[in-house]
Amino acid sequence: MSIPLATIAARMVSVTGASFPRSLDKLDRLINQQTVPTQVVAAVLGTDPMLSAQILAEANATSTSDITQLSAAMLHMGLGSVHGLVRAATPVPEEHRKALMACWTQAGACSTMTQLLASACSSRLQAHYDDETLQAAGLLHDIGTIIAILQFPDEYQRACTRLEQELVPFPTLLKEELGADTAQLGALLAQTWRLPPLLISCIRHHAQPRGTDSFREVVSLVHVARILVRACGFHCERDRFVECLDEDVLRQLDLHLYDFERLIEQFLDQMEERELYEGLVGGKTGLNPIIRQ
Amino acid sequence: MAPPNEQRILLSQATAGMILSRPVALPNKVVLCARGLELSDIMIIRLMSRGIKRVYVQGNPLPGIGHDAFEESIRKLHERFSRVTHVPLMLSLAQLVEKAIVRRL
Repeated sequence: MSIPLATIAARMVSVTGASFPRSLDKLDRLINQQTVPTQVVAAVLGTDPMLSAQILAEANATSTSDITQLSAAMLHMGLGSVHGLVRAATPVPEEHRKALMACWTQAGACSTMTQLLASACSSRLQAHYDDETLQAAGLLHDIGTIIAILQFPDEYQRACTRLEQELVPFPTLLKEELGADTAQLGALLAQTWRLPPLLISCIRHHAQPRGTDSFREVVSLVHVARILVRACGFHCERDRFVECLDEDVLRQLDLHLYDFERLIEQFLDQMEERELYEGLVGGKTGLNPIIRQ
Repeated sequence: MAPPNEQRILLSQATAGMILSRPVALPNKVVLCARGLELSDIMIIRLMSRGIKRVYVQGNPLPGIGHDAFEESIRKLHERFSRVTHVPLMLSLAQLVEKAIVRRL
């Protein structure tokens, strides 16, 4: 039985920052040291979709203009306030860690691919998007799945179970079980947290970029990036089936299959380096370990 | 499909004694090391200083991607694409990803 959308929206008010204990410890120590450059703290935070979303939300709440860059959000808030948010964040429950780790990995992969795609299409894009904005768009696009796991675990599990037996996309199953699909859930949270319209559009419309009138280019980039990274095996645990690429979007971005060959190589190289780097230094820094599906 | 008898590794993972299975070249095609050369510590450091990130070496010296893992990754790939096999574009994409997986062995 699904839950009314208004009830789901009301639940969003109580959502707070959550992350992996190792990441929270590491960030706490990094900020405490006071000698660590802000860029390093931003780089670590930039691998965490929930903390990134919360910092962007807090910064935008007191800003007169939209802030879509994590470093700008940190500058606006001050490191002390960032530290406060990190300390207030709750560790994710043990039982959800495996599923959430996969979501974190998919988010990081999508942020990398979104930047690569934007770079490949730069001459065809009408607007210029900086790397940090693209990173945030890719990182946060599927925050709805994270919310489903954390806030509605029973409905999420039922949708996962049905996914094995029914040839229906996961968001449709979640909508039937819960009353909202992943994009709606993410958009509800993003609106509650007052994230910038660009990020809300990416969260709400990444599955169907033609459904948006605003920021269509960046939403299209996230749409393509998401499908490419899932094709490469970076997906949210049991929600593993690749969706169809929107061919109109590819035409709009002037992207072709031969572009994908090079992009996938570049992407896998970057993920390999990231995996190796974080694997090597993870024990010391406590960065999220990257796991490949 | 059997994995090839060579492995593409990060130079930081290379150790002295490994044999290059392909030449190491700069982006401008200038060859720095020939195929069949045995790597030494000094050579690895020199290649790093020239900005080389990856090399192909003979055999499968690094653990993790054996034949079973390869077969499993291909099976998972086909499963991921199993619901879009009616779309030619997605089938082509699956082939691209499969090629990328094979190249990385």
